[in-house]
Amino acid sequence: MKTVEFSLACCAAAIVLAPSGAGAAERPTNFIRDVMPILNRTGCTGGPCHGSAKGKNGFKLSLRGYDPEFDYRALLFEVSGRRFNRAAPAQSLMLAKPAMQIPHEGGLRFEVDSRYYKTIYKWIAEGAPFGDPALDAPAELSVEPPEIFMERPGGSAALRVTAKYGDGSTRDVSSEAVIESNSTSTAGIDDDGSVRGERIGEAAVLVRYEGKFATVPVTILNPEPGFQWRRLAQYNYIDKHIDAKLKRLKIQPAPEASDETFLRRIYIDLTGIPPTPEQARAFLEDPASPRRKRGRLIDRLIGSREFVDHWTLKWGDLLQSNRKHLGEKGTWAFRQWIRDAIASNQPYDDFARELLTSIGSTFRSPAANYFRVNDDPKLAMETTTQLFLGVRMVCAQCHDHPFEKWTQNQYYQLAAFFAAVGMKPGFDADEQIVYLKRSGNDIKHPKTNKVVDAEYLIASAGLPQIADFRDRREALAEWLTSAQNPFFAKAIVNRVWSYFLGRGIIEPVDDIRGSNPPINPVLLDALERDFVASGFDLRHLIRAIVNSRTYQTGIETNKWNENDEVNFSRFLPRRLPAESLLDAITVATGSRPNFPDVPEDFTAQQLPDPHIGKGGFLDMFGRPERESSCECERRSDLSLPQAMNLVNGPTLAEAVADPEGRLAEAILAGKSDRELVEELYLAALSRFPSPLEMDSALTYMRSASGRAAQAQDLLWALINSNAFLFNR
Amino acid sequence: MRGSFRLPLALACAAGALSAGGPTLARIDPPGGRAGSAVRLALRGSGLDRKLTLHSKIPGTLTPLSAAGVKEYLLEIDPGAAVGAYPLQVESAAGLSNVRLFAVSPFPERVERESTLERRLPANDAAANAEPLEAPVTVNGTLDGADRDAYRLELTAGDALTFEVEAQRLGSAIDPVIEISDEQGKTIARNNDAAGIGVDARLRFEAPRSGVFFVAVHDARFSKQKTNFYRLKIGPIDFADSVFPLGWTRGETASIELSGGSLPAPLRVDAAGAEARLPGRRVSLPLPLVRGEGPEALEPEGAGPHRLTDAEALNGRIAEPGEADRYFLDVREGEEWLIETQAAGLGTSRLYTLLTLYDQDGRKLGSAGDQEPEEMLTFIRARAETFGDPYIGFRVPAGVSRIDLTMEDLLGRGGAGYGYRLIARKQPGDFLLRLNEPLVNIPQDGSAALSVTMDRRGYEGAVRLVVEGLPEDVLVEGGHIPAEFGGMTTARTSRTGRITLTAKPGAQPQPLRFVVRGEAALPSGEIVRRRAALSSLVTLVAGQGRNPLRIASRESAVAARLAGPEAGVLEVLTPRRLRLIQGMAHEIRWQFTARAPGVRPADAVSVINGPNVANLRINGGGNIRPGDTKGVFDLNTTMGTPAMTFDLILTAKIRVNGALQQIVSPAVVVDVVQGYRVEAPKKPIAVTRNGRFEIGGAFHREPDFDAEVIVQAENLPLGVECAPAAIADSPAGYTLRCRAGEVTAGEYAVSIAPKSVLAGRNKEAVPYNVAPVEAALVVGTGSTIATAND
Repeated sequence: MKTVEFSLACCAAAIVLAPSGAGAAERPTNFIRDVMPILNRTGCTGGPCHGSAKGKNGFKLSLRGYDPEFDYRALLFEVSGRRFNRAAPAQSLMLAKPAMQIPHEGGLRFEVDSRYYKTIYKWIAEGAPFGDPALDAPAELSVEPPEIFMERPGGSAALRVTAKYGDGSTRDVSSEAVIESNSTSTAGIDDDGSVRGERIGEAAVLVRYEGKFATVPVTILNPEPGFQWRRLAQYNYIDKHIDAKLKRLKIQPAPEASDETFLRRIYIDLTGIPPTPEQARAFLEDPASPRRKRGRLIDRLIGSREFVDHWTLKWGDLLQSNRKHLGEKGTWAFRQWIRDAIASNQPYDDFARELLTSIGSTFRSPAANYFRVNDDPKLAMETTTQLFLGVRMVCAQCHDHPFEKWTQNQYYQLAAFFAAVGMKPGFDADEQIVYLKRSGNDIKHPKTNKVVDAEYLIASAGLPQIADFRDRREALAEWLTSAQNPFFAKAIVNRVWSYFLGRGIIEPVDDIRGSNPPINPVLLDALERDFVASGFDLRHLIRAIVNSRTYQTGIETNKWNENDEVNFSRFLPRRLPAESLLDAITVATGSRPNFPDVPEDFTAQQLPDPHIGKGGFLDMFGRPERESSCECERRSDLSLPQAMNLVNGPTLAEAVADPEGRLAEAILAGKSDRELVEELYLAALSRFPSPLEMDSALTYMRSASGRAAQAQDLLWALINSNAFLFNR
Repeated sequence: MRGSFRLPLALACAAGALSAGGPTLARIDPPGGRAGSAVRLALRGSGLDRKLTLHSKIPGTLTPLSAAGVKEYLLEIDPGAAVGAYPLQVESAAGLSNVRLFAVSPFPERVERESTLERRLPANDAAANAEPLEAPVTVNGTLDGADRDAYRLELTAGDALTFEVEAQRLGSAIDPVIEISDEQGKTIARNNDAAGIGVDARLRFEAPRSGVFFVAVHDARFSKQKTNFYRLKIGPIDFADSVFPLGWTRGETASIELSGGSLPAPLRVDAAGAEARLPGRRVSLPLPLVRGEGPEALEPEGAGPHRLTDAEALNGRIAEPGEADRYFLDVREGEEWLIETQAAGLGTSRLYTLLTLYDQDGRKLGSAGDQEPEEMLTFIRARAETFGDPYIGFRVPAGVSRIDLTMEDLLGRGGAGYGYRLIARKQPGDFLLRLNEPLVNIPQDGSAALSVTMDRRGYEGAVRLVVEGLPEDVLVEGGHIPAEFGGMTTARTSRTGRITLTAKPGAQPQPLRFVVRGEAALPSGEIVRRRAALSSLVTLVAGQGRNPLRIASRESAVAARLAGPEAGVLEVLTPRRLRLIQGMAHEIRWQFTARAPGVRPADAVSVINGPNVANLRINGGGNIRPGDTKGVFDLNTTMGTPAMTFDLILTAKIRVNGALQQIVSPAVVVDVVQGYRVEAPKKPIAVTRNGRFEIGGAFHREPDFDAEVIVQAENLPLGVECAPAAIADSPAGYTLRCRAGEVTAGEYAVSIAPKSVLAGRNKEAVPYNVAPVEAALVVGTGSTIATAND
């Protein structure tokens, strides 16, 4: 039984001081079970109050009460014990202040005749026992109903929250539990904790109580009458799970996108670059069925050089391949290592394992650059968990995670896996050697100053078996990449899904936690199972996603899906990423961007890091700095400077007017106006112009004498259109 | 003309050297040729328009050809010439040039089309415009910035070829990468930084099918380098990537094991020089060997531990992954030892050494090559903490009679290529010297400077650089490397000292050869002499982020030349040896004299080689401007300036025929000294109660210190009084007259404290006190007067 060392004395005092009239059936109060929930509920342990890093007015409690032992000590022993008066409990500061019987900067937290006051009074009178964490801390939390389904907005549902304790007893803690919604515009929370349906859609309600969490999904249906599910083609299990959810929610998905739309979309998503006019023409004029030729194109693009470049860029972002951290040669070496992994379709678990256990020269064993970026055990742990598990541990460095089950102990236990990683300068300029330290290779808990042993994040995984000679990271990598790890496969399938569908099934993709549930858990599970069964084959995963009807859905809305942006009932247009936008301009104009310090034929996708072209077009359009592994570093915003740059900036103007560009070459080759217009549409939008567009374009071409100037205008206009700037 | 080689050559480039005026070899075209072929060899650079003498070790003959603007020679390479890199250097009346290397290979040679000077096109940047090749072949190419050179080869299934790029090994700044791809553009083989050849690239490739393959060469960083040539060799090349031992005693023939690479089994070869080469003609460039100056031994058979012999270089190898080689030293408490290792830093070993020391009970005392917990640092006196192969200096702690050492790979690896050299020396610290310029041209009536970097290996005292082998008409000045000082001054692990070589009037142009040594007096009084190792082929790299290239020198002496006159001379008008009193200032007056019309310093004359210690400021008072031909530098000290000797050298750049040359003054030697000092009596002074006695000792005053000095005794025992002595002139000694009363018998330590006062800038009184010395008084019971005046 884990008790604090002074609890016995306190309990003894409690026995002595317990009111003799207390009924035998009435359970004595204790700090853990009775008082701590009050402190949390009334906000005493909140960040703005005594839970702040420095406490408030000389009184510090752990944030949201994650450390009851610390709080108990603070209450009992600080200010010479004045916070308690066992002989006259009402004189205790702990009651007098929150009841505003004496001035309290935090204001009134409860009335003198409230239940909370009485509970604390009784607890003090009973000797202020601490309790037994094994028995008095809640072991489970259950919420009724477990799911809320409203037929229309405006409904309300009350939640009943029950805590179950180690001794088997239960308590209704609905009043003390903290209830929050992840989308208050969809599901609001009333003061009494009941859930209020605000508008059509879905939300998750998080219920917290004493370190235990539960999530209640809320669905508010479209009340419009007349919904009739119209079944669309299902190409694989993805469509099946998507449709099941959509049907239940009365959302009719959009039909499949046209070949033209699909063509541009699949090129941009798989390779980062739209097709050339020749590639577009070949696909569009292919008489095969859409499904067949789409499948063939997918197979051709996956594994192509451009595919490798594009995914090298994505992983370069996530792994922060950046000369600021790695030096110039290290950056090129790391890029090449990533490129080789993608080109060879290295199984994802192997890829992660190789990174996490890397040692040696950052030039000759480039995976070791991972530890040059993450050159501290804590940083390495934070990056690893966020990148490979989708779990953000950073909050737990200073205190237990406020919204999750992760504790400060776990933070250091995980960091301990990396504590032996050392680094020393190599034999060439900018070279570093990553090695394992033979001594001084432990990490200490900041509170106890004691060495922390490495332990997995999930207790059920058991304790790591690390022999003396063995790299702790190997044990971590073994657990982290195992098929049984509940996060590893889930995190990557969710991340990859988001690359194609615009958002994750869990969003943000690198913030997987109980309080942030997946929008379609069945689909996520299925993707995860399929990925694991494929041997962690990323290409298999990608192929499954892009072959689905769900991916190939059009952007069109209908009466039933116009409000849905999260269930993948239609494709959500998104602005081209910076590199894709510049490469698309290159394809459209036939002009070369002329990046410094790389070969002339390099595309923006191939650039090794953000150093090249720094401060220019790419950065304006949101290229990440590669300072963290967060997907959020890449911006996809729309801004006035971006618009001004496209309208007036030199990048586009010079590309359109490039003397060796597409337009000049086409005119010099003697192409007719019709041929020219067709080529510009294919180059810019990957499709033929419609008859109306052709007529309009020809009219414009003939409206002035300078053919080239008119054609430049046309190309400029096409590039500035939404159809060009967005992946749709 | 048969290539002569009268001068000993250090493989060097003069870039960055302070010797000026000689010719510069920027490039030789082509950088290599096939044995038995004739090559039109073009020399490019500056100062090549005069009459030149070639110093070449290329096996063959060199015949001058006349060509406008370019020095060209017809090189006929001997048919039996061995594969290798051979030095080439030119000499004119202005001096010696740097060295470039010329490679001899076994295959037909060609020049990359893009590299031809006549026409930059056609480009060969991609498979689509790849230049066709036929193996075996050697291509001499260049990489111009973010360039990629693509070649096309037709191979038959099963063709096994070696693809190798020689770049760094020949003095190019390119860090080459080889990529082989198929017709679909898929990369099927790639190498960057092959084992045993530094950053050069090499791979063996067996064609999986018959057809076309593409070979691309590019710089690993796509960087723009000034020296940007490479040689791509494709053919059946034999090579080893491991060598053992890594070195042997200079002058002795060593039995060397070559292994790995293309060799099916290890091969033993005899090596007499500084390299080990495979037999046969179709081989890679030889692997360099260390040539040690002392005894050498091989790691004994058996598990060990094996006894190490003082100052003997032991050649060992971590033959298996995870292996730890064990040695021991018999030691005595208080002894000071220095243990040095050589491995990956040589370029011929893959071993990242981890050296760990234990006492006889197995208690870990310290380590080098990794990070060390702080508690072990008290044991360690010196240690490689940041770069290079590790070394460790230590003092044997109490109770330790034996030191056990383990040698391991930091990453736990091992194999044939994991050789090392281990040397244990019993001595209180040591130092290594490395010449930064491998050659020097000394202008007539002018000066040249030679810099030497000292890596401290536990020795923190001063070092004096001396030159051996120069004729009398060359004046050697400078060469003082000051000691490290505590307090406000940060101790450094590396310092640079400089020597200036000045030709006396009338000195005749001639080739010279000399060696540089450093001498140090250890605290024990022992004199340690260390020879300065020659620097080597140094290529300054355009851009940033790369170390200068260093190819180990095979020579033992510095090549020098007494050359023609410089176009301008920088003279020091004030004395070239100064005694600078702590707390005082001094001027150095200088003058530039042009020897040719219109020559002036191109920028402001500056001072180099300051000791970089606290409380010493050297400036031109803001009065020296670009182009000035005379001026004054001020040296300002404080009482906190350490007493030491150092050198200052004035330098300027002058423009001669459009090219910038650096000129230097002779070294000015500065002794920072106390204004005065006293010495304690050499013997204890016997004092009798109720008697008189005198305390006396030597007194030294700097001639420029003319203030009165008061010498007084402090910390006297009760009952003893001494009258202070005022010293206004420069006597040889001081005497304090003392009287003893009722003094308790015993031995007392008293301080002899001299004090003085100077007038400050504003005539204010500024105390000038030097550290007191200690004298011993022995009080007896008699009443005689004892005098201990020396």
